[in-house]
Amino acid sequence: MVIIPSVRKRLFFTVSALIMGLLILFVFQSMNNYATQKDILERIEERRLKINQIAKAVELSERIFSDGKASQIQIRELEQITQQLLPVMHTLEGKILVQNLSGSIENVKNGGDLTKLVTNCKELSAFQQRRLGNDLWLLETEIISRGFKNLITSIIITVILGVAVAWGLHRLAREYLLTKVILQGTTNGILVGNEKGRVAVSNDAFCNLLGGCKKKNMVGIPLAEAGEPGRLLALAIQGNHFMVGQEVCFLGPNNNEICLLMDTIPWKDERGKILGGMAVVRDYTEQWTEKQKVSAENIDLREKAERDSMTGLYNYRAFIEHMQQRAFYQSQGHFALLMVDLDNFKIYNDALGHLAGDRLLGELANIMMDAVRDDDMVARYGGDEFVIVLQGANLNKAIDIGERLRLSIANHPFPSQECLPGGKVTVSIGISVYPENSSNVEELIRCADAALYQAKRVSRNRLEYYRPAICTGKELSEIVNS
Amino acid sequence: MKLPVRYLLPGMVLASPIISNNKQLLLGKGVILTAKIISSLKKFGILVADVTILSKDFEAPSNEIDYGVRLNAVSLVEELVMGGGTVNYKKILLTVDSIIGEILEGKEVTSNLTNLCSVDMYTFAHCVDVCILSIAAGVLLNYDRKKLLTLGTGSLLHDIGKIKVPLMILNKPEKLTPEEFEEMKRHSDYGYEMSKAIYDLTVLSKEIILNHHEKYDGSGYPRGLKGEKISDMAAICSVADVYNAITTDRIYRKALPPHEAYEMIMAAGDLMFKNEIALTLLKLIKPYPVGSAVTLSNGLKGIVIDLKEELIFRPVIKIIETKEIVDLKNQHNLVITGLLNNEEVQKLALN
Ligand SMILES: [Fe+2]
Repeated sequence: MVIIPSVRKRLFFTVSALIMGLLILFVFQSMNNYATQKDILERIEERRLKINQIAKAVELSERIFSDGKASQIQIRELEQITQQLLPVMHTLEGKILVQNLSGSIENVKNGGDLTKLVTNCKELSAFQQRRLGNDLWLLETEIISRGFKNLITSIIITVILGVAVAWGLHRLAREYLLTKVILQGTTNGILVGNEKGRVAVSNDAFCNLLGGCKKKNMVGIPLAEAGEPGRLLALAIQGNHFMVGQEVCFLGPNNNEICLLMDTIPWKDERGKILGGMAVVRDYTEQWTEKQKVSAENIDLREKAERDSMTGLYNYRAFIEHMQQRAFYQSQGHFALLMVDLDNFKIYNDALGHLAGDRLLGELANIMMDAVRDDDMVARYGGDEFVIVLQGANLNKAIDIGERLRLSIANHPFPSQECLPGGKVTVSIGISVYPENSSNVEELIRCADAALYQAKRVSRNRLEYYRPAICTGKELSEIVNS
Repeated sequence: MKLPVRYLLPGMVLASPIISNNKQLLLGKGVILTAKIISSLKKFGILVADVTILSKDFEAPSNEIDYGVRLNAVSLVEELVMGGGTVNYKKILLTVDSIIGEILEGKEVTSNLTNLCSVDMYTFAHCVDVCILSIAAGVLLNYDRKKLLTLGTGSLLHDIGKIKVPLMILNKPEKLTPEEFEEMKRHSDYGYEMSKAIYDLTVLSKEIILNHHEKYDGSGYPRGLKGEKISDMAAICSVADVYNAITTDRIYRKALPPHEAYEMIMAAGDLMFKNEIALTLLKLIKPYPVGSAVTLSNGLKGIVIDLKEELIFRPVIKIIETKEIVDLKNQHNLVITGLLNNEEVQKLALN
């Protein structure tokens, strides 16, 4: 499935770019306008002050003229005004006019002409009126030019900004759309999780491979709720342990077995910090089922070759192989060997026939299987002799288990056991332990055998463990006759 | 329970057979003693009889080494000593092996044949008792069958030299004079000389006969060997010899009760005996064997009826007064304070 880029989305990006540009422009212009306004107001205020001062000077000069003489106070006031005006006059003409005025004041102080003072004041006033007109005109043009400049800058900024934003957003959109295309186009299930263990991205294929999701949009839910792959991805992120080609099998919503092949890939930042991880899963159910079938067949075959057909126990060959492996791999740790021999089996066989004898062996095998733990091995050593390998057992433990087995057999109501001497089916047991008696398999079997011989020699229905003092009749006669 | 003949009372029941001088079974197990039987036992020179003093409730199943096997061995030693060493070596081996077989079956090894026999048979019975103890120790030391046969043969013959010691010295009830003691000490050398006549007897067996009175600290005889110069086998025979001697009633002193013998051997470890070997022998000795009468710390008396190998000081006891069974394993506030002596046992039987 491919998604076509929608016009609406592009439009949306453009409009938003424009709005952003205008917003920036508005701010810029407001700042600019504020600066202009402030400037003009200051200039007008200065001008107003100057006009006030000059008007005061005109009024004073006219009063002096009408009085015909100037008082000391009036002279001082006029001098103050000129002193204040001189530094704030910006034009040469204004400065000369103020200096003329102070000259005529000096003249009046020395009893000079009063008319000159009035004329000078009026000239200054006229000049100031003229300057005010000029200023207003200048202000007008300046406001217009500044506004124009602002407009031009704003347009340029807007255009650049808009283009940049639109281009960036366009790229982003493309990337986003590309991801979408990949996510939805692939048949692989994809699940991305962040370091908080929540789903960052997932696709429909992922849901389909899981056999359906409760929520179509999984973004934000904990990874653990995103099926078995999600759980494993969460573990992978947590333990920073990513792997390729992991087999993941679980029960789907319809209780059907689903198998997936999963790769987990870390998601890191430039400094190598884990930000999360991605799981890519693909369907594996068919191959897995096939594989299972093949290995089950193999196990079946091997089992058949290892099993004794009558009792279902391991056979002699499997036992020997097992022992050799054990002695080879198990350099430390204990195990015990129990040789179990049925007492008077020949009598039972002769009295009741071979079929009954076989049934007895089968029943005995079941009792032995029940008496041992899952890790232990029970094998038919041959004829009416069995062997048990007790995993991790030392001598005391082996004696304990062996004694219990012996008693449970002696107390079991076997069919027609009355025909036997003593009226019941019993076993004799010989025990040897690894590594105390020997670390050699053959030697260990010999030890258990010797112990069994000793048990049989004394009385049947007895358990005996190996000691070096124990030996078989053959070995004894060798010693005595040598 | 073994009682010296003078403590026997009419009505007591024999728990083991009584064997006469000529190795004949005098009285079988289960015979009820009468005054007449008791006086004839004294006449036959029998020192001790194994009797049941209380009702059947207190009788523990005995699992002792077969009397036939033991008497057979006694005969063999006698034959060998009297016949001057012309006995077939193979016959000795088979006899010793029959004892090994019994021990491997888990039979009780500390019950003395010596105690049940007459004075004249003492030396031979002692030889067999020591042989049994030595073999049992050998089994615990993981000896193989060949070594056990060597050890058993040597121990069985260890005191054959005593036949050359005058009876006057051998059976003297008083303390021996230094000269007599020197003569007594010579039995090791006599035995060694005699053993040379037994064709095929191994060097190690002969060494047992020669060195069975050597002590670990060098205080023994005939040569005063020290430490590792004494073979382990001779050392085993030595401890077994001492244990059997001190737990047997002799004319000149009474037998030590088992728990005292236990402590004595323990104390002698590493001085008189190699420690490892003394400890091995101690594993065989039960301070309070099944059937013995004991006093408990709460004042009650009882009979030991069962014993776990690893808890020899805390057996199962049947209280005589109440017939209640107490397992000392679970009664930590209760301990055995002592064994009843013969008078006390006799008193118990009277009640
Ligand atoms: Fe001696």
